[in-house]
Amino acid sequence: MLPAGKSWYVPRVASIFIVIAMIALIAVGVAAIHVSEHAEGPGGGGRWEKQMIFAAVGLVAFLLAVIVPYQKIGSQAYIIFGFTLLLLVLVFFVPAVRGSHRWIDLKVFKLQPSELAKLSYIILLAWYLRLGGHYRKLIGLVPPFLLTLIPMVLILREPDLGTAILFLPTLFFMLYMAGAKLRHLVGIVVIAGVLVLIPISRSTQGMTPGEIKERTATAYWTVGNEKKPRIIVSAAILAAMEKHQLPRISGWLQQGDADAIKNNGFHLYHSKIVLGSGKFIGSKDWIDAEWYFSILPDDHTDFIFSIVGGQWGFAGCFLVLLLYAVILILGVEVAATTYDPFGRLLAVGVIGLLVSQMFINIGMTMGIMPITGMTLPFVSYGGSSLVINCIALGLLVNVAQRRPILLGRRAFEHKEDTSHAPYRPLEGF
Amino acid sequence: MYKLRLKILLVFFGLAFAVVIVRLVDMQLFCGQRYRDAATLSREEVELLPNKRTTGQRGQILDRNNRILAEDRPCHDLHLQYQFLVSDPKWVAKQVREIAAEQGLNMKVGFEADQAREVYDQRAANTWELARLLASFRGVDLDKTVSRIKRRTQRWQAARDRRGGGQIAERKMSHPVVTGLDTNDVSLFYSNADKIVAASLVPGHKRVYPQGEIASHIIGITGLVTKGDKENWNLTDDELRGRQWVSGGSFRWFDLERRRHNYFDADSIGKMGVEKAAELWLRPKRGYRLSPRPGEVSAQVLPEPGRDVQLTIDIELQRRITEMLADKGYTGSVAVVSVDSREILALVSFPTYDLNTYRRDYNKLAGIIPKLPDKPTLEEREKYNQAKIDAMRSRTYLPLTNRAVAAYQPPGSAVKPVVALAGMTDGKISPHSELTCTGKNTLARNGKPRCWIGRAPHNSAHGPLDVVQALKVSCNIFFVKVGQALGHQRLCYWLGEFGYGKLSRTGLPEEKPGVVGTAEWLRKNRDRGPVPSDKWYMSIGQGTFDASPLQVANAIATIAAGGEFQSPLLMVPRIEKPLIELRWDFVASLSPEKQAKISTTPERLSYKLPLSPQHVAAVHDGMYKVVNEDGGTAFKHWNVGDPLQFKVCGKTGTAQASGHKIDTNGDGRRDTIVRQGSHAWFAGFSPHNRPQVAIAVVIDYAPGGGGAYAAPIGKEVFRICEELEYINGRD
Repeated sequence: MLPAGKSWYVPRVASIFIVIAMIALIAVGVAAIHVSEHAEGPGGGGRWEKQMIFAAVGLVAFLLAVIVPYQKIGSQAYIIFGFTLLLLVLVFFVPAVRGSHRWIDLKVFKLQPSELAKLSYIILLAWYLRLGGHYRKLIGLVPPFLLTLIPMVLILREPDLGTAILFLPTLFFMLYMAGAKLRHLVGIVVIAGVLVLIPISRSTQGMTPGEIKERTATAYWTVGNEKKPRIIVSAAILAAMEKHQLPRISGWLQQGDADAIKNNGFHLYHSKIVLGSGKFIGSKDWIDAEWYFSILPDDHTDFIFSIVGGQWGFAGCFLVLLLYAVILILGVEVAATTYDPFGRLLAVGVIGLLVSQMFINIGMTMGIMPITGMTLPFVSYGGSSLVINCIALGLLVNVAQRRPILLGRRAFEHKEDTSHAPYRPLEGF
Repeated sequence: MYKLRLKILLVFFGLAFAVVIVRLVDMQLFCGQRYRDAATLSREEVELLPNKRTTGQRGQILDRNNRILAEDRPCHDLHLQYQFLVSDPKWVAKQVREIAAEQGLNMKVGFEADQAREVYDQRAANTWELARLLASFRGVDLDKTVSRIKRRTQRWQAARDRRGGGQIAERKMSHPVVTGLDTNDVSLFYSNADKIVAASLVPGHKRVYPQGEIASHIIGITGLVTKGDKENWNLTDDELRGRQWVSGGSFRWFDLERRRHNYFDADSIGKMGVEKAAELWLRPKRGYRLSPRPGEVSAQVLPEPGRDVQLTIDIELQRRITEMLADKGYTGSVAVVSVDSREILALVSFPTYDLNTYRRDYNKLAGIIPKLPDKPTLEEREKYNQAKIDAMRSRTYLPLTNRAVAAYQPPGSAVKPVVALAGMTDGKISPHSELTCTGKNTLARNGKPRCWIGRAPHNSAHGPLDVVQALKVSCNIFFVKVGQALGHQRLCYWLGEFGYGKLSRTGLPEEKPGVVGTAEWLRKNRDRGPVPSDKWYMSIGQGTFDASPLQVANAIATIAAGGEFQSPLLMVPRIEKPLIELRWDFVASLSPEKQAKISTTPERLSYKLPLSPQHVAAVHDGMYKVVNEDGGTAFKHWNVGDPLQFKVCGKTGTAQASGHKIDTNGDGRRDTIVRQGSHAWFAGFSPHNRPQVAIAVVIDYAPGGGGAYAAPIGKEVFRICEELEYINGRD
């Protein structure tokens, strides 16, 4: 048996498969980015090579995240989080790109602090929740929620709705796994849901015709003439939204409406066309594919999954989902077999983050979620996203490497009394 | 507990995966082909042929001898660039640079740049001069056209700005300023082509009506497509989708066919007359070309020119009748129908107007008085006075109304043959039974309606009469009594059987059904049930009874043919391409409501009335005596002038009518009676023993009766028919 202290550098089965799955996803991503570039014709090239460089950086970051013991990272959680908050504030002093303060240009690459915030938030939350107990009372849930709200509000101000929303499922997964009472969590969700969906009426006075149209399309009902409503009653969250945010919602709600297809539903409609036209095995005719992809804007970032679906069909999509499933299942296994409370929560946080991102992104390409700007982890083009996700997965592997090794049964535990064994690594699987 | 929660979490994630996979299977495996179709559709570039702004040639309208009534002639339109119209400085600078490059001038050198600018200014001035010259040839006000284009474009741009901005394409396009240029204009343009700027000639079509004023009411006019036309004709997205699912056809084919079928903004469409009625035949259809990549063609459908439409009208007959009416100075209308086939040989409405100048004269023709400017000059005031006089004249004489099918007047005594046949067929009278005329209606306390002979200056009575005598002298009392015996319901039924109160079904959009005062009609329009006097007045063609000359002519033709009723025929059905053969055409895939809206050619009626030959013979005899026997109402005036080659059976009518009121001071009330009197009718057929042609003549507000004023016109019409050999053979 190996000395316990040095055991981490021997690759464990789970880690190997997680790494394989990660590299496979990155490879699929690079191929898909290459395809999307081809559709743009000459002049649009260079992204897939760049993504390869990002992948190399990501792998280095991954290794670093594996080497440093995760407990040491955890002990620095407040410092990391504070640094991230600093960056999130700093980003507002950088000139806006396309109307939003998301990137800090570091000449070599553009840093996206909101991506970093996701990671440092998970570390901090896991570190905070590891001691246990206090959040089993309702009042004890207040600090975790406050911790969530600070980065969320900052990111919402950028504005970056997609990333900001991501904090909530992650928080709930981690609280749930840390043992917060289910009735508290469900209660919060129900109350929040009611508050968000409660009907609010607004007068159309002072609205432009375009805004009235958008608000009517997303409303529960309207009062007055159908063409010229006087009062619009819609969900609280929609009533609170700015008019430039509404088209995404109305485009999502009016799928299949011929008029919406040309305006608000343009992205979604074309994403569905590209994804659906892949059929089982994808498009064999390269020229066809080129045309399909040329009608889809943002195809290399947020809509990369549509490209995968259009080019390699159901088979390709299924493969991607399978790779995510591998990471998910092995991650859960790691979470199950670690004793360390911080390690457990870290593993759950990383899995929750990845699965939430995956579901929201893939859901929006096929019209089951509204469109929010969110990348597909490991597959979408983008340095910050890729590196941060690599580090997150590195933390998961870090935990996996440092959990107890069980080469055989423990001393004096025999087959017939395994049921009494204090430790069964694969319990439940 | 931690492990249990981990399991629940895993189930939760599994559900999320399941949702995604189910949706993926649905989209890619079940609906994949639909998405692929949609992708192909958005991938292929569809180019319309000839293009979106122009269509092919519209079909010709021909008369029965293949003489052209309306045709599209190729012409050219002068287009000017929009930036030139508004002198956009950026565009001007670019033109100046191009001129400099062309003439080898260096723009960096000050005086050379000025020189280039001078050249440009000179060319711009030339362009305006040429455009003004060409506009004056065509009689168009160039400044007005240009300002209209500017205003329209600004309006569109403002609309786009409201919707969220972006420059509209019209601001970089060339716009037609003078249309319909002929060869001379074109050669003038090309001889100056190197001295002008921003102008181009675009080939197009011009609708020409070679017959001018003749038959203009029937031919009708084309105009630009309106929003309403598009709503009626064009297939919307929703309809397209519904149609696709119903028929199971491919979305792509339907979408392409729709593009061919739909009207675009600059297209023209029939607005009146045959141009509107036969729009389906006449309209040209676009073609399309599919290109998956620029310069590559995967499929092509050539544009189809419009199909020709042949009318049963003889334009020569029509012209001579129109000229004859113009000579006599009457307003009114004439319908000439062939008895055998019920083809309409002529359908004259007078006064008429020239279709070629219809747009220019529209205000004058429609009686619209233009506004007087605030501080008018003497010239403007004179122009205004003249326009007012013209408008008043149009309001009085209604040149735009197609009197032959759309103006309804009481037919007066011209309906009596129908009433006689109805009475005899229902067994109320026999050809020999006699009824007594006392000069006034004994059924009513006030004696009305009276017989014409009971009024001053005659103040006498006809005494006992049989049917033949009653028709010959046109006795009112006899027919009032027949109407009384028939009863209101049967009278209305018989009038309806002879085509009164119903659409004539020629397909002309102007057609109106007229009035027969049935109980239903009275309840709806007069808010009362039938009273006894309704049938008395209706049986002498007055009261709640209006009919068009075409209806009267067709009723007379029905009598002439011994009870063979057919709807009159105006448009010859093309054997090679009848409408029913268009089943595979796109129109057939429109919803029935839309089809009903756009196709105005109704099915013809044809039935045999159960009339006995003896009764018909008695009516023929009566009508023969009207014209040919001393004492007949038309006899006195018929025998003036050269006799006809063939004998005529006829019936006169003098229908009292309320005066024609117009609004003279512009307050919206019709205050002044400008025309009054009776409508003079004559209806008949010839030859008397084997009818070939039936006619109806009506003179609006004639100074006297039908015998004196309409019968001589009828005689002239028969004479023209004889000369053109529509009445022929041995007598």
